[in-house]
Amino acid sequence: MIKFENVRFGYHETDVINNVSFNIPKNKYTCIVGHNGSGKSTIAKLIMGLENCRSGKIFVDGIEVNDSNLDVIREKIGIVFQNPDNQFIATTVEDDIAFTLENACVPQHQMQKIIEEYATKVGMQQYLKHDPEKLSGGQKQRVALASVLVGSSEAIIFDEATSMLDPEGKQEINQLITELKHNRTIISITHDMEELLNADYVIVLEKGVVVMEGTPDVIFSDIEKLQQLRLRLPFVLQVILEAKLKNFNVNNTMRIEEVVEVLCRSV
Amino acid sequence: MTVLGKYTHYNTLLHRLDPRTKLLSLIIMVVAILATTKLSVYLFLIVIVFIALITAKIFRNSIINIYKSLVFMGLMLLVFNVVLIKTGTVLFVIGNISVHQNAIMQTVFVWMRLIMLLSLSTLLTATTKPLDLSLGLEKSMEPLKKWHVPVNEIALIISISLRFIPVFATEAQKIMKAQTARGIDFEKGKLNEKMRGIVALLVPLFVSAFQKATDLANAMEVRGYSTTKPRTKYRVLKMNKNDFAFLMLVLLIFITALVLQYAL
Ligand SMILES: Nc1ncnc2c1ncn2[C@@H]1O[C@H](COP(=O)(O)OP(=O)(O)O)[C@@H](O)[C@H]1O
Ligand SMILES: [Mg+2]
Repeated sequence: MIKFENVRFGYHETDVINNVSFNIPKNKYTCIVGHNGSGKSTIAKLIMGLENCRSGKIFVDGIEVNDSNLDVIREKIGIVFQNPDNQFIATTVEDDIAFTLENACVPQHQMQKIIEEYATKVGMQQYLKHDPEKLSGGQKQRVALASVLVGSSEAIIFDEATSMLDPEGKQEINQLITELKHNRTIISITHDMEELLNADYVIVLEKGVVVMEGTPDVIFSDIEKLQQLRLRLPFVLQVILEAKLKNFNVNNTMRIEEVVEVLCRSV
Repeated sequence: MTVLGKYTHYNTLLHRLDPRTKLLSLIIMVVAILATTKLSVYLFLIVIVFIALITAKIFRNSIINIYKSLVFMGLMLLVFNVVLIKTGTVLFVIGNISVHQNAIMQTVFVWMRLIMLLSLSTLLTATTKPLDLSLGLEKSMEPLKKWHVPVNEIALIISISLRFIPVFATEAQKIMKAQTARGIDFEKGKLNEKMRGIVALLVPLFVSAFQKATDLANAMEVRGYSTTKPRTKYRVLKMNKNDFAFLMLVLLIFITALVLQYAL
């Protein structure tokens, strides 16, 4: 659905995105991982047309992203940013969701119903009149998600949307993402290597370059490279690695149950 | 901190009125106050103002504090007027200063005016949510669009500022705590140490403000906001018969004040 072709971009003279090409599949759950400063957020900004690439091309559903079709792109793709406070625009929950509808010129008499529908989708229907000061970080991110969903239906980018939340808030948002997965392209920019296990497709970024790309099976089959990139392995893989060191005969798998079974059988 | 009366929620008639009704009424009343000079008119108007304050349950709030701040100003004014105004009959003499009737009257007038103006503006801000107020202003300023005044953008700026005031207050507290932990004393110390404290607070606060502004602009843009495109509006203001009745009443008060002033 989203295709990068030899994209270069930099904020100053130096490039922070260096000749990047990849293809994000439609209606799949794609994770983009990489260390701080590797250019993940910049990629998200390029997709959304908030920055223009220096060279190369970006396609969304076959449409090339440029200044003349930003409206079309933003109707297809929405983004939830990292900081819950900095994306809450209005002074109450309902007004924040309404902000997107106002921009899309939705007739006033239809708004109430739509707002209620989307607030219900993210479980915030009881908070419509609340102002952001009285909401938790997780609740603010849920409102942000509703405000994005109401305007852009096909794909959602989460740019470390849970990294500033407490475990409970994280759980809530991840739950919502699972519910949204059907018939929607999800792009999750993340630090959480555990999340990769649930992904359909993974892109690993290092210093503005795509260093690995593929299904989680492909990515995790090259443990050496992951270690070389200093990426923390998911818990299952750490267990497998330790088990192998102790001469247990386990295969690379991503299902903890299988590992447990093998280990139990061998002792 | 009740500078101009913070919004407090009660379900009174004044709370329920359309913000435009209240804005217009405020203007009419201010004109009435400024256009009249007779004691009888002022007594009439001040009674009206107090009735309004009581109906809106403002006396439960800290309007008394606002009045207290006027006492000092009133006393200063009295001293100046006694010294400077030497017309009208002499009421009494203290030492070698004669106190004239007009000096006293003048002070009383100014004082009554101030009380009324402050009470009326408090009445507006205490009974109207800031957001509704900015919405009311936006709607009332709509005609200015003809002269390319960016009315909607101004209203949006006001509402975003209102949204971020508490955010920055929290942020400032956080920074102060962090800087205190690094050894900066915000309370004690000489002037130059105090200045250091202020710099240590303001610099991070500005950095954070710019970050927030960038993030917010991005969030608004990706959600389809553009100043060049038309937008619909979720909040609509509706005047009902209460608003019209109230405006009639205010007009009646205005006419009565003028009749008292000029016809009698
Ligand atoms: N607005 C900006 N102006 C200048 N440099 C930036 C800006 N945003 C990010 N950068 C730089 O670009 C690089 C990539 O940043 P970013 O895409 O935010 O990384 P990530 O999201 O992976 O942590 C970093 O070196 C960062 O310092
Ligand atoms: Mg980032």
